[in-house]
Amino acid sequence: MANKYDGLARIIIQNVGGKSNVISLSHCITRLRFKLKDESKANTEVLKATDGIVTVIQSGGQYQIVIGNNVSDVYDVVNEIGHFSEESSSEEVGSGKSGKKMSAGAMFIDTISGVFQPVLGVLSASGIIKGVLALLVFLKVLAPTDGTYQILWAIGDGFFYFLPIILGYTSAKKFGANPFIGLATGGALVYPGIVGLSAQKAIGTVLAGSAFQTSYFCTFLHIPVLLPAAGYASTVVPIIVAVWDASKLERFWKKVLPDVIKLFFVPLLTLIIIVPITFLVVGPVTTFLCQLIGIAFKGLYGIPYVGGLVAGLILGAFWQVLVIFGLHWGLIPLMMINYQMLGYDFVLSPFFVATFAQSMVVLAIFIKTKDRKLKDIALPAFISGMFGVTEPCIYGITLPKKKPFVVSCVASAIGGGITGWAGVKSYTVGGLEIFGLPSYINVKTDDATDMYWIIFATLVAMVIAFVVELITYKDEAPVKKEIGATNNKEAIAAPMKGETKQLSELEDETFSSGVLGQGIAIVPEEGKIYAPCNGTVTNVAETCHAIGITSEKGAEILIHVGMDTVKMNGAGFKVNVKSGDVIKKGQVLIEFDIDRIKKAGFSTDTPVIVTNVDKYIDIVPTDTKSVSLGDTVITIL
Amino acid sequence: MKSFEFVVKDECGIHARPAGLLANKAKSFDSDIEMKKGANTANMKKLFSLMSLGVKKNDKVIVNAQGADEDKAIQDIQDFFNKNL
Repeated sequence: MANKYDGLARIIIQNVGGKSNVISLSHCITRLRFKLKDESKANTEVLKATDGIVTVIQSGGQYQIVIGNNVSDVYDVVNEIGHFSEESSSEEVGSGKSGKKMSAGAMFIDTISGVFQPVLGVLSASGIIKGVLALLVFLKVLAPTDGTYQILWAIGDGFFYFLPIILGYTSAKKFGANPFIGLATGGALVYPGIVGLSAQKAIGTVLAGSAFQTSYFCTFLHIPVLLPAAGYASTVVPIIVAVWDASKLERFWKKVLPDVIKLFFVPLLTLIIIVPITFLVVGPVTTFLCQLIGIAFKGLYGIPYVGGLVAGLILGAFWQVLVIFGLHWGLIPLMMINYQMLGYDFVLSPFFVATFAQSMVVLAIFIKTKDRKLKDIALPAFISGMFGVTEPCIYGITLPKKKPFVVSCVASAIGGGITGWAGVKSYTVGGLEIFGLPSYINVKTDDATDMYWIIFATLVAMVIAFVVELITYKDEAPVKKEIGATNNKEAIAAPMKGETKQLSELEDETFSSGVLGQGIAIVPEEGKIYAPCNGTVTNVAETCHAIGITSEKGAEILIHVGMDTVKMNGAGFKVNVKSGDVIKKGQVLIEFDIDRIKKAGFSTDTPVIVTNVDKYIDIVPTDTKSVSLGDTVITIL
Repeated sequence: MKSFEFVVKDECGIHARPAGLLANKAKSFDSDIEMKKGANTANMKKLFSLMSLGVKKNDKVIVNAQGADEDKAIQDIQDFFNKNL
């Protein structure tokens, strides 16, 4: 309970529509990514106005709360309270339970980010290792034949090589399939014996002579099996599609097979169908599509003189817009496809420029602004941006202020145009920003021309972004924004010691359904009700089993001793106060005989309820299992 | 304005639980709805106000509704009284 994010976490859970509205929760580098059953239940305005939350974005079927670099701490607390599943839960995909019907595009982004999200950290780490190794080779510190290099390279490249296995796992989690079926499918795709096939003599060719010409090296039940040039190592799309199919099939088998044989037969019948189908159908189709996309982009970049320039300008300018909608994940497979098909990538080169431009705009604001609070956000945002995580810059500063965002887009477009025009290529998945530079070195030829170009383009974009912003930025007239919610905050203390129960756990539907209001129930250990706050007694039941208190700040609190105890007609109850009495926190209000209530056959569960809920943003009950007298049990927001 | 009179027959009177249900029902209407017991008047949409009347068995209460949906309000609330109190 001592965690400083506790309050924030509770506000978040309440305002995304409560625990029951959450399908799953994951986080990326700066955002909590909720998947909600009904996004309309979320209280977006309240969240946006909450200290500690930068902003809220609804995109791609995700309800994203931008927190900043401390997101993982906040995530931990939110998860501790809510026990949410991290992506997955089979109802998430395909079964259509998600309240909001997602468009195909949103679904696609959702899928890609879901599949890549859990591995981003390792992906970047592997990328950095590869990038640094490239730099070390470039500087002649290491040779590719060194054992040191090879071990380090294995760390960096092993992850990428076996990506289908890793994505098999994350896809399965994402689609609600058995993760080990995903792993097994991925394992089959990159099995060395299969990968080795394409090194042998081809036994035939399909579509010979076309741009899609593909050789095959083996047949499955006499059907030619088409393999991509390098097998399925490092591929992205085939495994995602395969696992998606597998998730459907697995669900089908689970439905039709008898329970006793499920454990063994569901994976057996799923794998034995999905893996061959992937090799026979999914593999070739996705391979062709990938080739098509690769050709199309290469074509766009290949338009004489202007192609690269135009493509670079467009990508540079709109990269950050894509980031805002989380659409940038749609380009990741494209980049992966490029690495895999061409050995290098140019699609994402303008992005390199864009993040630096964004960061420089924020640096300019940091220097120019006199607003203390803005300075406090701007510096860490800038540093974070220089390491490639621009979300704090975008959501914390440039986007809310709009103009700085446009400035960064214009600067990025110019820098992106230069990279596009020069056809700057990266040769491995780079680390973020500064660490990403070495990935622009061509290890095979020891050629760093691309790196010099990207540095030049980036410097141009940085200077433009910085200078323009420094000239145009003006502090806005300070707006005093008081958040009503925090001012009204009120804590209600436990009126007794005992175990707690959520209202929803109570047997009496009037209480559990929340008709009377929101709050918590306590199973009393002692037969006394103490005043939970300073206030006035508003009403006392004739039968002495319930008391209504209006707190100094106006909260109307009902304490109801036991369930159905109205039937005891006052026997075993003694009330020490009367309606209209002014009471002090901690004063004894009612005394009652616990044993007598139990003997009479009634539950002693005692709900403590705030009844005038309409007046408040939220009523947050504690989640500690037992409370002592005076502990805060309800926080009123 | 519409109204009706009712003598509470329930052993326990209008205690917390029925009061909560009543307040909830009353809140679903736009009309102003009040309940009178003797000289005291309660806003029926407010649980605390309602409970403060301390209505017991054999007490006579008068429910008044005034507003656009007063007919429906009185009808529904009277139904509730007949069924539960």
